[in-house]
Amino acid sequence: MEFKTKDYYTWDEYVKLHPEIQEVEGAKKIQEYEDAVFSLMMRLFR
Amino acid sequence: MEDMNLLREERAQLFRDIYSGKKPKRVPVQQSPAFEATIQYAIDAGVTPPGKTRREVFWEPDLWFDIVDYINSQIYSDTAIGVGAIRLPILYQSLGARCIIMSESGVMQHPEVHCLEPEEYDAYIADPMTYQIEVLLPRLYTELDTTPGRRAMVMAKAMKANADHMAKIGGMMRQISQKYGYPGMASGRSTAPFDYIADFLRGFSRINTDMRRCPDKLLEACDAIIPMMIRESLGSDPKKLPPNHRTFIPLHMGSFISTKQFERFWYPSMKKVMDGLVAYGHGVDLFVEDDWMRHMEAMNEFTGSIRYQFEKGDPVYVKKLFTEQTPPGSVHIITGFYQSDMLRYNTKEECIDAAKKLFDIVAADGGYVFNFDKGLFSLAEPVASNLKALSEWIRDNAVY
Amino acid sequence: MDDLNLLREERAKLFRDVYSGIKPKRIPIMQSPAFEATIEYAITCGVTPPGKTRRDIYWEPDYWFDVIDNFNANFYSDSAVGAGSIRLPILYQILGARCIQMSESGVMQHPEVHCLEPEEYDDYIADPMTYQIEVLMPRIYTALDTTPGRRAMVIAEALKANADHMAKIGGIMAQISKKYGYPAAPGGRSTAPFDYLSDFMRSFSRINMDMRRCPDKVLAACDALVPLMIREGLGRTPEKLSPDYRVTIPLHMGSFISNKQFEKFWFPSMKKVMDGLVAYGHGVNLFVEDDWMRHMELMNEFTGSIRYQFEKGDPVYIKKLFSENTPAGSVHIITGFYQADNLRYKDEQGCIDEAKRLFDIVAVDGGYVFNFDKGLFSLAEPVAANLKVLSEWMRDNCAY
Repeated sequence: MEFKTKDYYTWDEYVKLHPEIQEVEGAKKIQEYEDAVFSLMMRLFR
Repeated sequence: MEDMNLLREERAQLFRDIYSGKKPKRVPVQQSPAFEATIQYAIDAGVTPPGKTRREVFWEPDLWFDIVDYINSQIYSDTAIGVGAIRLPILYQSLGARCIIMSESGVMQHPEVHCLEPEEYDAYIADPMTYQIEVLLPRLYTELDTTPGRRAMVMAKAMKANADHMAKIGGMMRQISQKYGYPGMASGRSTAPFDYIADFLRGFSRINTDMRRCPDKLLEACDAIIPMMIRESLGSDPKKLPPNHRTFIPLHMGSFISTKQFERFWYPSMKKVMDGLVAYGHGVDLFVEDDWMRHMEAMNEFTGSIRYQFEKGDPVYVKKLFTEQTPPGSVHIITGFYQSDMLRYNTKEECIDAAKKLFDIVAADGGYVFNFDKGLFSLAEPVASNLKALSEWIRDNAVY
Repeated sequence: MDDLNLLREERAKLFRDVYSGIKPKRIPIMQSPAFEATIEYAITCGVTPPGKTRRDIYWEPDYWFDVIDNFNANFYSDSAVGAGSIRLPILYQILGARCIQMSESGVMQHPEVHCLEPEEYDDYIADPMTYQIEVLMPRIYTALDTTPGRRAMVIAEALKANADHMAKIGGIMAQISKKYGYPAAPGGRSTAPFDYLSDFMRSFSRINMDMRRCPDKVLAACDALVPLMIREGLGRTPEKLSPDYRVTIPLHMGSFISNKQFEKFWFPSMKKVMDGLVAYGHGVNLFVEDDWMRHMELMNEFTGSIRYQFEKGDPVYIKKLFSENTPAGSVHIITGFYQADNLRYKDEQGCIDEAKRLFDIVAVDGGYVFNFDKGLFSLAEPVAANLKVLSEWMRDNCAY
């Protein structure tokens, strides 16, 4: 069950906006940082 | 291990001596290749996994230890060879930077940009930091040009990515220093106020217009950022910094402006920054990019322990100037002046001869740290072999 | 070292067995004191520097290893005892939290707050995450109620502070587990949608009005939160999680609402969350706060490996319900039900007798993990002495 929100980007959504790095394996690490922020944002309401 | 500790101590002593104006045991050797060159060198040597391009490696910190280890194992240096003044692709990509972009071939580039309009000078001058954060950042970093909540998320993400990668580099460099017996180096970064305004805020071409059209605003802006420039390197508690803390400042605009412009626009605010940076006894390392010979009398007025890395110019003149006119109690050290192109076009003997010739001028009675005129941008043969021979020759022969 | 590995393996097997419905060798013992109690106990034992208060220590992670180590050294447990579900004071301080505050005596408190107004339900339902980040956060975190640039800086600081402290705790717990031979217990956190909406968004008193005045909005909001709650529990790549991974969910509102309200508002969205959390074969640990006996028939419909920690209620009824009516293929495990107050008011033998009485009901044929009805909030004597004796008695006498 995936959720959609304007303020969070999955890697797939991100590379659609930034095709210049789509084949760069190491760039996928950006997703980890997006996720780190996501977790904190969730945490702050419980 | 005991040998490593001795070597580390010997090297630390070389730098302690030279930065305090004593003649060191020998000419200290420093190497600062661009990270791009270090990566390519490792790729060519087969140190990285087959098929990995320079661009890919730049994105994969897990491969960096081997790369950095490789160059340190091959090339003699008295200080650790690291990732240089690295621009992390993950940082600039996360922020959607317009001002720092990685090329297809894996080189970090700085396209000319500007984010401050001339009519905004007053608002900028009133509180430069706040104006940068609130108004200018989203103009340079497109991912911040969004809703306040998303902007905060992007900023947090970028900060965490930057911090993690810098911690990784820090850990790696500690390992490298331990392995090769390099001395600890403490350093901060700063910028000349005029360069700071010119580089990212107004852009190279617009700053020239400003010097004619709104000179007073420009001067006020330079003055307004002095405290920020000092704070950037010394942090919130300069008294707690180690005594060997040195501020690195790459200088930019001097070679493009006249003596008159330099004296009026570049120098006064920078002098205050320099005075601030040395106020607690710490040193400054300047990288004097291109040719600044016409400004050197003013540049020689900086006080404290100041090292100047020269790209172009007249070493005879500079040595004489530093020897005869350095402010009392101050120590001015020369580094650079050795043309890195030598390594591309000459034999080993010629490279060594060029060093001899240069050292006769700049290294007499100390006051010189060997480094190239600028960071090597390629180690492709014959550069690597020449570099190896030259570095070892300096280590073994440039003894006082 | 070999003994520790054996112990770790033995303990891991106790939990693996109980969570998969197999009768374990003996009753596994868990301890989960509040961090406040662990700190206070360390102060009492003289483990922390003289004069440091509980509040001071809560702010100083450098003392946490000793504090946590002291508990683990003194009390028997089959799983590591850590900082609990710690609320980091630095995080809430940086954010200027209205919803989480530290008392003078060093206890983290949750004053009743709300940040969502009834007329905002539609916007919230359309995209709860974005609405939380863009609109609601600054209302409960006052440091974010500022300009967009400053807000981004505050979030970045908060993220970094939180990550650094969590990494520190992670390092401490790795050391502790190694030292005492505790098994790894990977896990995440989630929340029931209705609780999430009640606790910080609408608050306890306002959610009661909403159930009467705008029941459809409440239901739609709960449904909108389902994917977020699953995502929080399992992360982005559930298929990559360890098979031992379990999601902890403290349950809140059930004891305050009627059967009818529970069936209509609390249960349906939570059932979807639970189904999502176990979809890849992972388990869920529920903390059933206060008395939920009237809702237990529905609560027993959750499928998968579900552990329920009970604070109050009828253990006979629960054991019978779980034994006879658990959905086919699912495993429902009981923990808790042992009143922590026993440790304060009974002697050692009295505490052991209570355990015997309880185990005769809930631990028959497995299906029980020992823990208290809730996290111990104080270890002041006679609690510590009783706890020590009770834990060791269970370890030595509760074999099947």
